[in-house]
Amino acid sequence: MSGLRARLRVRLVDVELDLAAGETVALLGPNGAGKSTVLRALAGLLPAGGEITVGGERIEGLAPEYRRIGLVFQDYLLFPHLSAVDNVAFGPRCAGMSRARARELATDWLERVGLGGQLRSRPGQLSGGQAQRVALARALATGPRLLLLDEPLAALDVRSRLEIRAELRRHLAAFAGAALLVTHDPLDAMTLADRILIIEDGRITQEGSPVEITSRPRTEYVATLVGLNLYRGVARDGVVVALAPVGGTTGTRANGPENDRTSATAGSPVNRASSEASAAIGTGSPANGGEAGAPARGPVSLTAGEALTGDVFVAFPPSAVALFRDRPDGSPRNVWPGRVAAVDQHGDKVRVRLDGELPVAADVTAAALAALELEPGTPVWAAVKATETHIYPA
Amino acid sequence: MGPVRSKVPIVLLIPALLGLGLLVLPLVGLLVRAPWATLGPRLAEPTVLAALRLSLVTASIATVVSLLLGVPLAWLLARVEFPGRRLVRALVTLPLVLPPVVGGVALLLVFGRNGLLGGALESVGITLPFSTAGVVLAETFVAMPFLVIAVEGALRGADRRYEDAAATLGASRFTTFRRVTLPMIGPGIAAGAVLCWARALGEFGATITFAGNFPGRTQTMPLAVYLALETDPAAAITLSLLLLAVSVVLLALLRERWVS
Repeated sequence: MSGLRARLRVRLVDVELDLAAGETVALLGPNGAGKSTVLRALAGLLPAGGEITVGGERIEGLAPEYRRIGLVFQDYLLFPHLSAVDNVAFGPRCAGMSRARARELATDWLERVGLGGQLRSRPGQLSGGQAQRVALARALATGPRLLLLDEPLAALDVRSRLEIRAELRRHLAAFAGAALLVTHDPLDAMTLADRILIIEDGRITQEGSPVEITSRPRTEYVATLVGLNLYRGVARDGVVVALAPVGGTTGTRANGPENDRTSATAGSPVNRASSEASAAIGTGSPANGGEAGAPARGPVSLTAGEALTGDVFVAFPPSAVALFRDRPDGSPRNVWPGRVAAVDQHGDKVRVRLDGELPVAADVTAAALAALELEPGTPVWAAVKATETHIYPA
Repeated sequence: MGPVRSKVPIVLLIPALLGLGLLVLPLVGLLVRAPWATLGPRLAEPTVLAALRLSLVTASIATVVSLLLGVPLAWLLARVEFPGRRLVRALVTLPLVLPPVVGGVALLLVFGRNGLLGGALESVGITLPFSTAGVVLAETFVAMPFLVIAVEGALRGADRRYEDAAATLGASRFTTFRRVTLPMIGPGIAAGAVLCWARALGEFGATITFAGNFPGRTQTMPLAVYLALETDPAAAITLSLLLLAVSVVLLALLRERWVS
């Protein structure tokens, strides 16, 4: 069957895609990153520069109706004046199939997506989940060489979402061609796709399996999505210096793709810190004097669990961070001073965000929060065990 | 505590009521002076029936012609980018503001015996001026822009992404137009057609200029009204009443569609 290879330049988007036949790839990114633009360009609905090859055939010069690409729209766009079966039969009819044969095929597809009893229903009479299934059946009934799905589950309520997600997974697995789905929901991407492409500002910024993406974020956006503190620095045998945050959970509210724009990075990335690198080997100055307990400012280094050398990312979850009012002594842990910037309820934990040389998010219990008397402005020490950090090449 | 609602300013109220009177009084006059007692027999007079039949037939044919030509024209204006599109749109809407008599003169200059195309048409046996076909042509010229405007508006208001969806399913542009666009703008087309038909039915200036005033052949209702006013005012009132009734029915039809 057919894979997809494409280099697209359209508006502010410039991406390269390479999908194997039978593979499902998610294009995950914040709103406005250019995800839908990519889909519309592939389908031929948007004039784009570059090359598109599906199943070995160049198609970028073809009008949409000749591309044989199935597209499931976010709000489905079922023809309101046609019944479910006629919506699905539309594609086969356009391909020259007789009315009776097309209806037969459409009925078959609707039965396959569990809607054998809704053949005659108009789109207005269908629930969101049913409409999604009809839209999928309609796209698949044309026998497309490539399947595109634009936020396939975004318009559904929480309950039907679970159900449809499982079904969609099954249909995607059965689809012989490549499938590209666009989403801003990390859960959809991780459960539906074999591989995830992260798109930000029109560029692919990270690529990998769901496991790789969740364990080794490389951008602020991904770190926020998967809820990790992420830093970039220079390592020498597992000691990382010149650390600078890559945003991540230092944001206002983590774990929400819509919030990534609001989570301003506290420090600029790597370059700022790298000039301090040579001077920064060793622990940051532990001095804790000064008035009002202002934490000493100075370069921070981290001892990571693995011995690596070179440019690295360091990631660890907020739950790995412990907070202390006074500098903990005699501990092998990484410690650095900070100042409480914000305190938010986060599930059954409280997420405390610290400002300072190395901004960090820490999850503590409500009891710990009370015992430490943490409120915005309070100077505290953050500590994280080397074994709880994850270090990987940048 | 003051009154719950503030007062309607008198400066606005008086002209508003005057305007209302101006619009409604003539209709009241028509109803008051109508020869109600002899209405039945008068309506059944052969000349009245002939004018009525001619009006209904020509207006209906003009509407069909407008649909066949006007809907594709509206589609072209709404869906295809081409140089000079704005100019074309302006030209299409020109008959809306052009005095119908001028339209009639213009039609004569093109389709008249000595017109641009008239000679050629005559050589193949087609004579449009002063014929029933001429009436249809004059009515179409004046009424089609109403349909084009209404349909173009409906096309612009329709969600084009449905057409995108049809394209991804393999539909050509014509198939998309026929099976997706047309059904979705159906109400807009119907409203445009009703408007077009009403305008054609009331057409006077272009018709009398281009097609003349021959009873049974080119004398439509408005022409008959005008003629009867000099010889038989009661007949003119009767015919006017008939046109008024048709207008009221059309208005009711349109309001069903348009009041939102």
